[in-house]
Amino acid sequence: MTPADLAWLPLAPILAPLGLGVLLLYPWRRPVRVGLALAGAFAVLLFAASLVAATSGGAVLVSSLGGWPAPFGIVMTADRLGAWMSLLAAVSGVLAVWQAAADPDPVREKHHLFGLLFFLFAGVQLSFLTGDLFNLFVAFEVMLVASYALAVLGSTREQLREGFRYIVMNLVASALLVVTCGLAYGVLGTLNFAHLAQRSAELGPNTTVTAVGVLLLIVFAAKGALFPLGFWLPGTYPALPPAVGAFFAAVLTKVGIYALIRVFTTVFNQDPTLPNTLLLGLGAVTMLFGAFGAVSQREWRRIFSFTVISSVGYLAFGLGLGTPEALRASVAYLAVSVLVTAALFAIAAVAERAAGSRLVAVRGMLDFMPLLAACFLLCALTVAGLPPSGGFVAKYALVRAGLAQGSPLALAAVFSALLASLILLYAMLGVWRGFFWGKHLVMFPVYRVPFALRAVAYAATALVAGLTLFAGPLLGWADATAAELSEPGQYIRGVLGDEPIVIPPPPTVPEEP
Amino acid sequence: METLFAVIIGLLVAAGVFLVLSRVIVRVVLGLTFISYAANLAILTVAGLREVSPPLLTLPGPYMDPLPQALILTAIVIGFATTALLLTVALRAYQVAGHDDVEAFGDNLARDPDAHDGSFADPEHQSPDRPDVEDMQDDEPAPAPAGGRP
Repeated sequence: MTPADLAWLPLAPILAPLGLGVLLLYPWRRPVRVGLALAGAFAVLLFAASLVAATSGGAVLVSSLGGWPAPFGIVMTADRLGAWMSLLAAVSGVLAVWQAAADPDPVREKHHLFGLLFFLFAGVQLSFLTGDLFNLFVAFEVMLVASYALAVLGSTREQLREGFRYIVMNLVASALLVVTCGLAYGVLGTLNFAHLAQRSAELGPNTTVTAVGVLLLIVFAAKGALFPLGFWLPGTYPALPPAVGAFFAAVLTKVGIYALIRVFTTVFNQDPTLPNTLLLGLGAVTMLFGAFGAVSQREWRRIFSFTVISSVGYLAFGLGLGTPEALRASVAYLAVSVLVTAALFAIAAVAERAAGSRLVAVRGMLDFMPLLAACFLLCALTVAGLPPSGGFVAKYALVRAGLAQGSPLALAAVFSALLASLILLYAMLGVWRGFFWGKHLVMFPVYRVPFALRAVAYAATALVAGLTLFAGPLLGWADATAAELSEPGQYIRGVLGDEPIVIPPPPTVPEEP
Repeated sequence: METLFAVIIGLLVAAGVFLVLSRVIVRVVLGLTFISYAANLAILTVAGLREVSPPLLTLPGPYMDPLPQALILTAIVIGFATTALLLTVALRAYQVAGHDDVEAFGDNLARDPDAHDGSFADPEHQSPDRPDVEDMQDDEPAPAPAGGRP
């Protein structure tokens, strides 16, 4: 099929969760609600997978809303990167809905946990598939309003405290994003990604455009939790209910990273020195910050929240290197990071439930749950980046790209990446020693965990193992994505067509009524 | 004209940042609205302030660019929704914590989050996942945290 026949496809993963979210607001009985939610999550997965299949040949799918062509109307676009992110988000969505279904929470479900989850999915998919800077802001708001509601749903004291911090932080960042959209429109006269790229290319290296780019970097660094702006993350995610927290941790920071990749490869790629230096430096600090934070914590999901921060640092490092090899490694690491975070949070949910405590220091659970221990070991190796895991493949590619780039800052960042991996390994071994190893004390009870909840952890770990087994195709896909991102002409032609854009002159003569 | 707008935007942002840094929750909310007003004015200014007709074809041209106004309208609607949500959260925080001060939240990374230090200002509005006051026995231990329900 030609891209024109598939023009509806980029809209499908956005509209499906939006419609289901509205449908789930009706007070169905729980089995109906859970069935609807699971079916919806799988439908989104199906649409995202077809997006990946449709873009695998390098086609750029474009749906113009209201039939207005690209630079004048809002368009949804899907290239390889967008479709890939959409697929990763859909997989995490299925895992999150499954986990929420396996772990009944009557109070939160009565207050529309599932409906809000689907609005969140819609916002996330919209941010991955939009082709317009201002619509990216709208997508962020759809996603964040749903996430604000989920963050405080249940209003425990801890949730309110952390949720308030999260909301204020993100609202300030959003205000900055609005201003930056206005500035970009003032400088370049358009908001469409492809048209922005075309016009900034015509302008060449330009300090005003670079300033707009750096403002966007600050905004997306706040959303993606890069070092000085990521302080809200390690408190917020552990306060959430487990299923919601797993989706937040796996996907929401990656939305910021996706926006960074999109803006600095496709759109503003004329003068990459300043943004790349900033990203390299911040990335190097972020991964160390996350690794040290993970060592300092004693609770399951707090430790893993810090590993999320660390993974954001690795991604910023890969993007900041600015070479196609580094971009390839980053795209592969994105998949590793999303899946392993989802798996770790699923494991944490099971472990917290089994021990009846959020603390890691229980000891001797290896006898009671050997399979979970095996899952945790694989995920821990993936986080630390040791063979035989997909994390090793991706981190090895990152480090090699850093050494190949060879600037002093890149070498320092490579050193920091290796050091952070080592510290992360220590943190993961601390969890292993505290929870699984040793002799179990009789005074601590061991609770039964329903199989459905354990199955989420096993399924997510199976996906992580799949990354190792299919590392070849994964890197092949990442290679094609990086090649496409390094050559933005293909995206621009795909969205705007081959004809030059003609802005019609403003009407000056009043029309007769 | 642009200079005047720039000064106004600067003042609004300064007031907003001052209020956001305050410890009182309602002031934080007010500060955020100031900042979003400043953002809207900034878009208007950047797009160009000219004395021309509004973008209505029944009037003689030249016309104003309608797009920045559409952006501002969208931003106002979204800002309205988020402010309403934030006010709800602030009210809930007041009901649960009993203070209108961020000090009531405490800092949590260094603290045991399960410590039972809740003093309820408004016993009729318990949070949904804590039992009601009349159901709670004196000798009952603290309610289990969200992650650790047996």
